[in-house]
Amino acid sequence: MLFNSYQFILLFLPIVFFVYFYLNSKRLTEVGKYFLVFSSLFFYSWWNVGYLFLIIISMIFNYSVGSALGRRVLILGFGERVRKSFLIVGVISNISLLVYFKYSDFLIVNINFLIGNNIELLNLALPLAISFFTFQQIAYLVDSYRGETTEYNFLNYALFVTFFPQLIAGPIVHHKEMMPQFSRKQTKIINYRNIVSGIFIFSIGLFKKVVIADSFAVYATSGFDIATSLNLFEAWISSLSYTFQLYFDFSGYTDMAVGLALLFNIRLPLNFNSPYKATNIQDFWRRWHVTLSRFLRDYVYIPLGGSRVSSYRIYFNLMTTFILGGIWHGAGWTFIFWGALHGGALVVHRLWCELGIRLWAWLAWLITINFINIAWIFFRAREWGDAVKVLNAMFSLDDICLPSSLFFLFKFMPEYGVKFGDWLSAIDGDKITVLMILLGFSLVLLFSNSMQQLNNLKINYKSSIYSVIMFIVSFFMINDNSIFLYFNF
Amino acid sequence: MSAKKWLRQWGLMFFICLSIVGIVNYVIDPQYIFKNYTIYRGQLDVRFSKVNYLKENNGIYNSYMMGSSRIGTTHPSSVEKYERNKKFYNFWIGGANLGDILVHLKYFIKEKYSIKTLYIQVGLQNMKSVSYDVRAHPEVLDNSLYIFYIKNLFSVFYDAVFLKLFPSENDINLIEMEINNGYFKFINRDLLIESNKGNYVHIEDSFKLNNKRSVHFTTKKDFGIILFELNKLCRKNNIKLITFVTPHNKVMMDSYVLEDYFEFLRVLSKYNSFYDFSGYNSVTTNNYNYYESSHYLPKVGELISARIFGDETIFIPKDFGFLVTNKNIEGYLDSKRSNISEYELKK
Repeated sequence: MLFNSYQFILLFLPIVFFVYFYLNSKRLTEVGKYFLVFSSLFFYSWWNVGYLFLIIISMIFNYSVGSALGRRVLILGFGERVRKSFLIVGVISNISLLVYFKYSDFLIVNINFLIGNNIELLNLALPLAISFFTFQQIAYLVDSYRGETTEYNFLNYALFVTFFPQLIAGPIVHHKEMMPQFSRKQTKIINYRNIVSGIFIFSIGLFKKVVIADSFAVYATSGFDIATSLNLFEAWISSLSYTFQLYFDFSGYTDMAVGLALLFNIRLPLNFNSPYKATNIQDFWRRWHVTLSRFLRDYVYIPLGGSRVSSYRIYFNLMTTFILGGIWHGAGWTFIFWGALHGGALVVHRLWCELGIRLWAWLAWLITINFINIAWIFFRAREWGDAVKVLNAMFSLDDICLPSSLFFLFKFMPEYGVKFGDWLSAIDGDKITVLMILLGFSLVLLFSNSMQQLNNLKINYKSSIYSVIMFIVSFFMINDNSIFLYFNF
Repeated sequence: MSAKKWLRQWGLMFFICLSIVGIVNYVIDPQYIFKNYTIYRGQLDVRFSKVNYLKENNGIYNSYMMGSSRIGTTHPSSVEKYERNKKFYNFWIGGANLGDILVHLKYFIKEKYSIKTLYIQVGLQNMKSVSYDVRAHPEVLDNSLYIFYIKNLFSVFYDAVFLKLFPSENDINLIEMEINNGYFKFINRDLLIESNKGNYVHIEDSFKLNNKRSVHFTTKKDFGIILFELNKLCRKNNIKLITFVTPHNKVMMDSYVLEDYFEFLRVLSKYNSFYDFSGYNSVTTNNYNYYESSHYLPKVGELISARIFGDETIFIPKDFGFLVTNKNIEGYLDSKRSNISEYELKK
């Protein structure tokens, strides 16, 4: 079930909300939690009931290992080495599950290529949200090992993993930031202020997804998947469209998740903070998918030695962390390359900082946004060929086409091979497309982001009208077939 | 303002807007969803309207013409006159490819529609995409009909509402479809052609396009799978299958990479014999046979059926339409190659 579907907005959400708070009002708080877990599992199984079993088994396994590590029940008398072995078994089991479902075909293809074999592909359907719930539970195991978990109750744990607003595509939450909220008394009482905040941010998220991201998706899909060749402007518009699509899609999903959680008096962590305003790549990763960056920092980068090692070791740590981040997003060389590009950029940024040279802010921003835009091409392309097609066209002057209306201004251009006519036909674009790209830039650069708007929300007529307009426009444009991009990861 | 008041106000505004849109959509019915009509004009949901109509009236028909909107301009009588005791329905659907046809055929068989002959038009757009269109009638895809109605009740169709309230005389692409036989007419294009054919061909922009050969045959594997399934279904259900390749206008033909186009025909011939009207011939190189570079005139549909059914009373250009089988395909492609080389030299 999608957040941007009629089934979810008109049926699932109202029913879950009212039944949950009704049960709490009757002091049936434990039943309320059971109901919320059951509803979340129903929400999850809407796509494929077959994988319900998988998530339940994964939860039982991780809860057992985690609480044993945390309570030190099984470990008494066995010492630190046994505890560490226990953690390693837990982490490897989670990673094995992820590898089996997500990466087995990728590995088989590469093994076949290397040894010239013809091992058949498994063609497994990727269980929804597996990357998210696996990472979340690995973090739980590590926190338990470090003694940072205090509460051991399977119902609360199940709610922490399955809570439907964040189950499918994050934010990736920490055990310690969620469990106390589930136990708090205030969580069980309807809070009108939180409902206002929740509806407000949900409306913004829905608008970002349905109106903005899905509009950019048309050009990105045409440019990357359909067009066989692109001219200079078509290529730039295709890549920028995807850059905007991805941001509005994923941050829109996060806004909706934050809003839905607020309806249940739960605060989810910040995941986006105007990432395209970043003036360097490190700044970008402090603003983009913050909870993933946090996970990679705490559970990969720092355990590798972080920044408290030699320079070369830091560069190695950065590259390793970002290549793993790339692989986490998808089983393909394009994702690995995308991760390596970002890792490399962070190394370059570090070297640049050591030189102590400062760039003008606008130039730093221009370099950063261009790098991000180019790197997204590899992230988006289904195959290398698609990425090369877009990149070649972006940096080749062989195929330049301008609108016919400009012919009288640039009559001399045809001498240099410039054509006039259908300049955006390969991506089904027109003048509106150019305006949309400009609008995309102005939205990400000139306006406060949705979380800032939420923090500054004033309960008055203005905010009510603003929110209802965004909700209604989006509601009337809902397209059932438009899933969120991050559901694929 | 209190939070409760904010919520009440929000809910009230939402309810008012929802009601207005719902009432407008139900009363005006811009997509022709909520009521039954005999004539459909403007922006219609062809997939929904036709499947809905056939749910009640499938008993009238026992044969179907299927394909994209290109076959839509052919009146069923053009085929019926050769297939005695058969009543055809023109089941064209906008942008349809073979995947679409297969999905709908499966639905017809599941619903136990009587199907004696299937007259299928295969366009070269299948070289790029063969997956079915997700806009199909919800019951064809086993989806909820209620959700479909809710979606249509609470979506905003500015253009369609406007077009239904004020049918534009200037909209050159305005179409009119008779639901009881399924075929459609370009109302305004027909008028323009009738008043001055030469001028029409001269001013139609799509004839002036200068396409590059860039479309590859990227769907080979899926295309084969669908053809295999289609043939299997027809054999199993005793359905006579007649297949032909669309006579695409020369402008459109110019966009296909030639070797990929030949491979497309080769794959098609592996699964069944077909009539090929594509390429550069007397019909496709003459813009007077077309509305624009995509749709041919009804008279071309008449020529197609005359060729397929061997009608010698109608004049058909010699180079228009050949029966291709898996036995003659290589020779056929050789002659096609030289024919195209000649055409390109003359250009």
